[in-house]
Formats: sequence, C-alpha cells, structure tokens
Amino acid sequence: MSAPIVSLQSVSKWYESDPDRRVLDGLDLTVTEGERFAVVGRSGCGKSTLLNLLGTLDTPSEGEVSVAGRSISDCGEKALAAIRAREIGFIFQLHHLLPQSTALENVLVPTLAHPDRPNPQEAAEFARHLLDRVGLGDKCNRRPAQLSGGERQRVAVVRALVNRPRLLLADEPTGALDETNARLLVDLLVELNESEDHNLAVVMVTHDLDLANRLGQVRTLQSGRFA
Amino acid sequence: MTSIRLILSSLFHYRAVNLAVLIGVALTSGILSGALVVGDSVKESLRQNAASRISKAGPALVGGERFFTESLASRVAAHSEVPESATIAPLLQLEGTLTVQGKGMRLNRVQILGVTEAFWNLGDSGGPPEAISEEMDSGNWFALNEAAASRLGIGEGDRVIVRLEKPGALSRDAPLSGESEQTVPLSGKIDAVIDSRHFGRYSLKTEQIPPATVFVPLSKLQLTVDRPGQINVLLAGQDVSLDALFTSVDSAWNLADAELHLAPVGPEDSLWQLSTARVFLDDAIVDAATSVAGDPLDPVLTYLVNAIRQGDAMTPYSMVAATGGAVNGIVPSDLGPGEIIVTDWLAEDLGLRTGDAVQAEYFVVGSGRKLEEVSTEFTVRGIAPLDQPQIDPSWTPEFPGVLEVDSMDAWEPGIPIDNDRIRQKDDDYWDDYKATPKAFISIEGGKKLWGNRFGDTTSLRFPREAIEKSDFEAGLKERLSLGDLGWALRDLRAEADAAVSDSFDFGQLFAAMSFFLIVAALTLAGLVFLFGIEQRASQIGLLMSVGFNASRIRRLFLGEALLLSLVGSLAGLLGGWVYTRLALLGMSGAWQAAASGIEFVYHLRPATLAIAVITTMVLSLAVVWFASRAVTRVQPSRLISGGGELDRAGSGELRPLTRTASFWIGILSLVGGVACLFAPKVPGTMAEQGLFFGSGFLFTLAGVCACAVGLRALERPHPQPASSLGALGRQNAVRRKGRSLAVIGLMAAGVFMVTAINSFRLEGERGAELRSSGTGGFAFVGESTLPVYEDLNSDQGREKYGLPNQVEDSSWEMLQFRASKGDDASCLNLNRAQNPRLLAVDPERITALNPFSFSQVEKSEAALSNPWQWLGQPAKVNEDGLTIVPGIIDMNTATYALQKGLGDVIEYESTSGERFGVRLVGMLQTSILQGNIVIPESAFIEQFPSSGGYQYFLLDLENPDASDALAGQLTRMLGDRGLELIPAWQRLNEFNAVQNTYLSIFSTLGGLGLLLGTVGLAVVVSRNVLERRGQLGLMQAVGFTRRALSRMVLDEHWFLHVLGVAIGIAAALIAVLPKLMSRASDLPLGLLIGINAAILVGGLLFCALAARAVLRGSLVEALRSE
Repeated sequence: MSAPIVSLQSVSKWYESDPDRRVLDGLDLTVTEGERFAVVGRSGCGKSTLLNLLGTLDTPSEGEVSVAGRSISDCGEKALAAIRAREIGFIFQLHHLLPQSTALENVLVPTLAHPDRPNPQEAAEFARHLLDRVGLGDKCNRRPAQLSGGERQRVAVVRALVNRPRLLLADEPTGALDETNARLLVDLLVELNESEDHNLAVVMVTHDLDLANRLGQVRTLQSGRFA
Repeated sequence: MTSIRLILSSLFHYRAVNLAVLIGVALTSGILSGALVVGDSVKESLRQNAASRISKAGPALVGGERFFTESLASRVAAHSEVPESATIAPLLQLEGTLTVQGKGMRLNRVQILGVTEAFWNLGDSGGPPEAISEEMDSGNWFALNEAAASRLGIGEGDRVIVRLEKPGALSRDAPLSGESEQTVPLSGKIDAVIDSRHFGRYSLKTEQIPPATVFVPLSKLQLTVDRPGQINVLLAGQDVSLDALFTSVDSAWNLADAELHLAPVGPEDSLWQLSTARVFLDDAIVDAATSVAGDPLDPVLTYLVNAIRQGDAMTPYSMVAATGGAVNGIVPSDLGPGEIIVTDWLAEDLGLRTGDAVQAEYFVVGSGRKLEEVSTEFTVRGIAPLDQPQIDPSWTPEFPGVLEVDSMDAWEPGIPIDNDRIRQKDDDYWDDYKATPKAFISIEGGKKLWGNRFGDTTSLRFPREAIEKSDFEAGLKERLSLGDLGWALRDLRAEADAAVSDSFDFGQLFAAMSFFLIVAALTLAGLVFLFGIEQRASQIGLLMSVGFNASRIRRLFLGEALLLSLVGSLAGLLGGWVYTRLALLGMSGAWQAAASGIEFVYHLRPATLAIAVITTMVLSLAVVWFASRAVTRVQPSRLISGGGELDRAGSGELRPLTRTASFWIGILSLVGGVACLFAPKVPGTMAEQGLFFGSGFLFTLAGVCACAVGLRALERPHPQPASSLGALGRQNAVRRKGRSLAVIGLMAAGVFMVTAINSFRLEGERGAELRSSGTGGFAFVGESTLPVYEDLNSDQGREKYGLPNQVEDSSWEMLQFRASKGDDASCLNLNRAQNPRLLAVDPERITALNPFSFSQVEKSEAALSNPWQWLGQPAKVNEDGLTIVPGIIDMNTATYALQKGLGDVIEYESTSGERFGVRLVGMLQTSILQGNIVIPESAFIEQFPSSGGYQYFLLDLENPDASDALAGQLTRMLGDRGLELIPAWQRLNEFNAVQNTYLSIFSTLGGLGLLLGTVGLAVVVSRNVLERRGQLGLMQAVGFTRRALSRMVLDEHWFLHVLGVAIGIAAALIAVLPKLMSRASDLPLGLLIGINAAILVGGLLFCALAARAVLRGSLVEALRSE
C-alpha cells in the first residue's frame, strides 16, 4: 500500500466575511504516493480552497490537515514553508513566472527555498533535464516575455517539479491555455505521474470534465463535500 | 540561480520603480549629509576664526586689573623651561572708546593694546605690518584693526582719538582710591589697518566677532595711563606649554611684579615694612608674609579720618594708624580698642590730655560705592612726641591723589574734601610731616572700624634682623600661588578648542530643520517601494508557495533595498554638497542673523559622510522592512489569486475611524482649539506659542475628522446616482478611505506646520511695556565701556553727570549691574562661552521691580512670591568647600549655549584665584538678559573685590514718550564713560532675530519638504489609477473618452489635495490670527504665500502628470487582462 502524503480529516473551512457559509464541510481526503485524480465542481464549490489546504497555503477552520503524518497545526510558518519546499509542487492558472529571470532561473527558484540547499550544479542539470523533457531544452535562457503561453505554463510545471516533490497540485493549470496546449499539459501531468522515477501524486482542479477525465480518476466537489 | 542573482535581476527588471526609490534615497542622503556637513563647515569656520583670534599664541598670563612689570617677560623668556626661540610678548590691554576726529563718530568698548614687536611675531605673518615696521623702534605709530576701521568707515591717514581710563591703584569703589573717572586721551593718525594675518583679530574672549582694537606702542600707552614699565598680559608663543609658562612665571616673578614693596623703616631702619601700591594688602599676602616673617610682627592699617574733635576743637583730615605693639614702640601691647595714642601736635591742637575723650569721624563704604560718615569715641591713652624716630610718613600707604600733591588743597583722595576746614596749620603740617599719622589706635580696633572688602591691612612691619630681603621674597613666593596674586594662567588654544568643539551644532540644527524634507524623501522612497512590492504580490505568493518563508522573502527585498540604498546614499552625497553650499550661502546672506561675524568655509569630515550614508541606509532599510512586512503578512493563496489588489488589512493602510468616533473627536478638537485660542496668555512666552500652536493643531485635526465623516457619508448608498464624472471621481475617494484621509491629513499637517511655525516668531515690540515681557518693561538697555561708579538714582550721581530728575514730566530710574569680564553666552556667540559674563545687581531693587517672566524656578520658601528674592539668599558653602551663590539666567542661554539646567552649578574663578560656584536657581523666558547670569551684588563684590563700578544698565521710565529724550541726554552726559543705550525691544529683537532666522530656514526647508511630499501624492495617484486600470478600461469600452477619464481621476485627487491644503492653511491662519491682527508685517507673508502656492500648484501639477502617465497605453487591454 502506498504511503499517504497529505490527509484531511473532517476538514471544514469558512471565511470571516461569511461565517455561515461552509466552503468545505467535514471533508475527509488522503492523497497517497503515485495517486492521480482531478477535482471538479461548480464555481465557488471550494475546489481552490481544497487545493490551498492540501498545499498548506491555507489553514482549516475546523479539522486537521497532516502532511507526511505530521499535523500542520503543530507547524510554524517556517516549518510549513519547508514542507512545501520538500513535498509539494504547485501549478497555478497563471504561470507567475518571474519576468526578470530566464526560464532556467525560474525553474531553479524553488531550489533556493529547499531546506537541504541542493547542489546548484546538480539542480541546474536536473532543471535542464526537465525542461528538455517538456520540449523547452533550447529555450532555457529565454525570459517569460519571449515564450508562448503554453511554453510559460510548461516552465511553471517544471518549476513545480524541480525539488522532486511527492505531490503536484495544479489549480486550473489550463485556464489560460488554448485547447491543444491544455491537452498537452494534462498529458504531461499524466506522464509525470506514471514515470517510475518520480512516484508523483497529482491532484488537479479543473472545471473542464474532458481534461479531468484524462487524469483517469475524477472527484466532484459539491456543497463542501465529495459527491 | 542564487539569491544574489535573483536580487540583481529584479533590480534590473523593475528599474523604473527602483530608480524612483533610488532618487528618494539619494535625496535623503543628500539632505542628511548636506545638513551634517553644514555642521562640519560651521565648526571648521569657527576653528579658523579661533585660529585667527589667537594666531601663533599659546598660553597667556592674564593680570586683568593687576599689573606686573614688563621685565617679567624677559625673565620668563630666559627661563630654562621656555624654548630659546619662543616669543613672550608683553601687552598692556585696556578698554576705551574710539572717535574719529572731526566726524563725531564713536565706537564703544574698544580694545586698546599696547604692544611691542614681539606681539607681531605671534601673528601668522610673523612680523609687524609693513606700514609700521619701520616705525617700530621709534615708538611712534598708531594702528587699528579691520573691525574698528570698517565699523567707523575709516582707514589709513584718518585721525582718531582714543579715550581710556587710567587704571587705578585699587578699585574705584574702595575708600581713598583717588579721584574717579580720570580719562585720558590718546590721539593719532592711523598708520596701518591690521588684518587677521598680522594678528588683527586678537582677543582673549571666545567670541567669533572680533573686537574693535587700537594698537599703539607699549611704552606710549604705559606713559599715557601712568603705568610706566607695567603690563597686564604676557602672551607666549604656541611652542611654550602651559606648564612651562606656569613654571617660568612661578619662578621668575618678584615683589615688584606683585606691586609689593619691602623697604626699611623705623628708627635706624631697623624694621622691614611690606606695603603695596594697591594700598590694601590682600589677605593671602598678609597670611603668607606673616608666616614668612614670623614673630614679632605688627600689621598696620592707616586710614584717613575726616575730623578729630574734642568739644568745639577739631583737627581736619588726619591720618590715623592702627597697629600692634610688637615692634613699633609707639602703641603699648595692651592698648584697648577704645583707646588712642595721640601725637603731641594733635594734643596741642585739640588741647588733649591723657584720659580725655575724642571723637573721630571717618567715611566707611556702604553698598556699592556709597560713603557713610561714622563717628567713634576714643579715650586718650597717651601722648607721643611727633619728633621721635618711630613716627614718620612711612606709616601711610600711597593713597592715590594724596601723597603725590604738594598741598592739602590739591588732595583728590576719592572722598569728599571740605577745603574750608583746612587751616594754615594743617597745610604747614603737610609741608613738614606729609602723611605722618597724628594718632595711633590698636590694630584690632582699626580693623573693626576701617576693614573693608578690599582689605584690612595697609602694611606689615617686622624686624630687619629677623630675615634678609631675599629670604623673605623666596619664602613669600613659596607660599603664594599665582592665583593669590590675582593672575590667571590661560591656555588660549585649549579654550579655543573647547569653545569650538562644544559650540552650537549647526549640523544637528539643519538636520532637524530638514525633518520634513527627510521624511518626504523617505516616504517617497517607501511609497514607491511599497507599491513596487504590491505590484509583485503574486510573485511573493508564488515564492511562498514554493517554500520561501516570509522572513526569507523580506530578506530578498531587503537585499534589493540594501543595494539601492547603498548606491542611492552614495549618489546623494553629491546633492549634499549642493545643499551645504546653498545653506552656507544662505547663512552668509539672507540667514546671516543666525551666524553673524563669521566667514564660512566648506569643510567635511569623512566620518560625517559615513554617518550620513549609514543613517540613510538604516532609515531606508527600515522603511522597506515595514513596507515588505505588511505584504508578506497576507496569505499566499490571496496573493496568488489577488495579484496586485491586496487585502486592505494587509497593505499597511490606515484604518479609518468610525463615523461616530470621527465626529466626536472632531467636535472635541474644535472645542479644544477654540479654548486654546481664547485662553489668557502673556505675549512672547512659551505658553503663548504653545497655545497658538495647540489651537492650530486641534483645528487641523477637526478638519481631518470632518473629512472622515464626509467620506463615510459618501460611502452610504445614495438615492441619487452621481450626476457627473467629477462626482463619480470624488466617490472614488471612498474606495480607499484610509489612503484618502492620509493624503488630506498629511497635506493639512504639513501646510499647518510650515505656516503656523511662524507664530513662533518673536517680536520684541509686542508687550514691551509689560514687566513680564522679554524687555522686563525697561525702556532702554545700556552698556558702558568704562565703569560708572556712581548710583545714577542718587542726587549725588545725577548731579555729577548733570542729569535731570525728570524728563518731560517723567521720572526715571536706572537698574545698574556690575559686570564681570566674561564671554557673551547669548545665541549671538556661536562658540561655547567658556566663562559666561556675570551681572550683579542689588537684589532689593530688582525684587521690587520683579521684571521678566520665569520659565522655571527652584522652589524656595524665601522666594515663593517673587523668584528674584532668590538673589537675597546668602551664599552657601557646599560639601566640597565651594562657595555657592544663587544665579538667574535666561533659559535659552542655559539650555542651548551652556547646556545647563535648573540647579546646575557653573564654576568661576575669583580675583584671588579661588573657585566659587553659581547655582542656577531660576530661568527667565526669552529676555534681554540673554547671555548673562545675574547674581547678587554682594556676592560679586566678595568674589571680585578689585573690580569697581557698573557697566550694564536698564533704564526704567515712567512715561515711555520721554525715553528718547532721556536716552539722548544720558548718552551725551555719560559719553566719556562710553555709555551706549539702545531700546530694550530692539535688543530683544537682536536676540529674537536668531530664532526668527531659524524659523525662516525651517519654513524654507519645510516648504521644500512639503513640495517633495506632493511628489508622493503623485505616486499615490499613480497607484490608485494602476489599481483601477481594468475599471477605467471598462469605462472606455462603454464610451468614455480618455480625456473624460483623466478629468475624473484628477477631480478625485485634486479634491483630496485641495482639501488638505485648505484645512492646513485655515488652521494655520487661526493659529497666527492674533499676530495678523497686531502686526501683519512681522509675518513673512510673502514667503508663506509662496510656499503654500507652490505646494498647491505643485500638488495639482504632479497629480496631472501622474494621471497622464498612467492613463497612457491601452486601457481596454488592461480590462482584457483582468
């Protein structure tokens, strides 16, 4: 049986601005190594909130979130940052690449945050390898402004992988891409999940059922719970 | 990829924002370094000023009113401790008046220097000025320094007259000191005007304004004042150490230098008599001589008795000697205090026999110089033959005006002489016996009757066989310090260094006055940086999501800021150079009143630049740290999703108060402001300024609160939608209420501060007639070059100078002060006064008038109702044995010039070289007494017994309309004393001019700061527009033109800006209203209108430029990207 990476136990979430509305309501979820699924649902159903909780970018109003068996409520800001650097990679709807840095430099940014400070040369070699794998090997030194939308998002994917995380969280990663590029990106995620050297779990939030289905497993969020 | 690389690439990528930050930092650095270098430059200017004041001189021996022989200079120069090449210059330094012959122009308080060639060697040029170098040997030349020449507008070839007082043998206040006010003229054609290279700025005072000085040959001045071969200053070259001068003087001085005579007297010259040209022997000398001579020894006190009577018979003007019975052979050792030995001449004249009673009438000195005639009865114990060898004129000291004349009619002993009393036989006695005493009393009785503050011994007599003259001299020297002789050794270089290094710090002053500029520049840098960070909010979110923690991200930003601040701070140093140059130019021109009498030089210390750079960097980094701290507190998920639109709580924006709270704070502020405005106040006091300032501040707060209430009202849904784009724009101000109120508040506060600060301007005229004002209610303040010995309120004093008791039906009184020869400690002296001038006054007189207002008074039951009563308190001796006298000082002098507080003790050296302390028991609010410390007259006389007369005057007049007429009369009649009177309000204004100049500097720098602040307003405009580019794009999409949108944006921000400026101006106008109503011309209306107009126009302009810049480009594109 695969080891759990992140687990949510009876997690509820509401916001101070509207405390009566539970965005998530007593949700239980465990993401294990190598697992892959998509989360779908209507706008405002809590998909992104769920992803933020899985990625420790947000804290639950109720319930418990554990990463690698450790409750995040016991963790301070530094420890959470370290967990994110080690265990989790993020892809957002917008690429959020640093405009001042090249593709390679953008990919390497997370290595600066890794608590073990990987060897820079090895990290750069690995980043080149990943960029090569997503077809951007020849564009390592280009800045985001010199890349297409699809290429930028692929750089963002590689950036999420450079620290060899166990969990890849993608929040509407195809939202800013055309259909072809969107499909290519999802295929890339599947490929990464299936490659043996990563054993990577992938959770993708999307409102596009077709793309969700490409991941194989689809979970629908409804009224703060999985349907 | 490294953090450094990330920082560098970010710096380059966001170069536009970073350039703005860099400019802000550079401005800060420029202002700060410029201000601090002003301080360096002023200090260096003072240092150079001090250097020219003392040139190549080092230590000095200063006798003041004590004179020593000119030959002491050569003896000191020959001493082994003094380098052979060293210069020891003898000087005779006096004070007098200088008039231009035929022109009637007069300069008071002129320094008259009798010099030899050695003096010129101590100048930087190393020799006498060319124009008089050939005349050096002839002793026939006359020169002025540049200060004297320029003040009188004269030069070489003009004829001038110097009038100075012959220094007395002893204080003119002393009984039998001779006729007072013996002024002598000294005239000549100016041969040279002495510049600073030739030691023309020489002065012993630590003041930057050079005294007007007349230079004449030493021998000529000595002859003029009847002091042949005497000097009162020895000036040594800088190669002579203070210790070397001390050792050499201590070893080289002799009895003649101390004005002492040791001469054989008595039968067959069997006795030594130690006497002094100063009439009374100092106590220290009596003690030392008594110790050296040992027993037996008789002290002698000989006094002039006005009359000796028995019944109707009277003998006028007789010397009577009081002495002991040890060695004189006249007075029996058991002579009682009420007994007298008379000569047979006197016995015959009065028909006296042993056992008869006689009355002796004589003058004693009351307070000041007031003489009181006292009568004492004696019983005749015995009659001594006048022709015995023990009785001769040697008993009588050299009373000035007595011994040197041929007949009694010519006597000028300094006391009233009734010539009608003098008979032929008295003149005959004078011819035959001169000042031989006619009677003798016991020394105990004599000291009790005639002892006074100048001494109680006129000579000492002891057997010649007991000691050789040389041994006596050596013993005396061993026991006496230089201070005991009334001489002071001064290290002029150390004094100058101390005066400069402790001087008022203009660097700090300019840094403080540039406060607004610095805050504006830093705010600008901070704002730009903050908005830059907000622009990168999503990046921050991303970095957090990939594992960076908040402090790491802040460190990245600080890394960027560190480089920016380093480069900006260094670049700003160039701006600092410009700032300093402009400030020095200002202080030499428009702001001259703040630093008169000094030629400024540009000077910087590398350490100052380092301080400026480091301070700027620390300040900039602190601003950036606070700015980035606000952003990194926001949850990363919000940063990611929100992009640039940050959560309000996290953006560091001010949280506006609720409408109710704003309303009530506004009402309370309004009430408080009105209360402050109408509260009773005394003109010219700190309380008055505080209340004006307080009222203005509260009105500003009320205005801002009113705006807060208004903005809250705009926030509520209105039944009528906005009817115009302008109204829509103003509604936008509600969107970021905190930011809008901050703009209004900052503008209002800044405008108010810069405008209302001018209410601190001081005006001597306002309320000048009030006792509580800075003039003390006095009409005129005066100083005389030569002391006035009389009480000008007495009939005798007025009669002497031909002064009326009334002028234009107005009676008048003069409050007279004795003055020490100290430094000016007022704000007009930029140096730190080393020896602040003491003014001594009769406590009863000043208490009765109770002038000026006190800001602080030490509590005392004795002075509860009137702080001046403190001066009536007796001196005390503290645990260190130091005599402590009470002193009252102007608060500005104490706080800024001397850096002393209430209860502090300032130490002085008395004439006898003993230390005593002046304890500050009261502080006056800004007054004409600035620069001085007022102490009781009795304490002054005790510490400085040899100084006589009054030199500082406050004229009190019943009818102010008569003041000019009286002042003119006083100046004319006391012209020989060099009396100069100026209206008290005018003197106060001279002091006030310094503070007023500081206010002008503050107004200018603060105004510039506010102008810079309006650039910050432009940044806010840019930010507000950038945040809403999507909305604006939508409006363009639905049909609004770019011009219309621009007008909407400007309406919103001009509204805020104008509101802020209007509130500030309104509050300031209320604060200065009382001044506007009294004397509008005293406010720099032109400057204030200029500053406020520049702020108003600048703000409008910068808003327009900012709006134009950010509304460029495709707004629809911005909508699309949203």
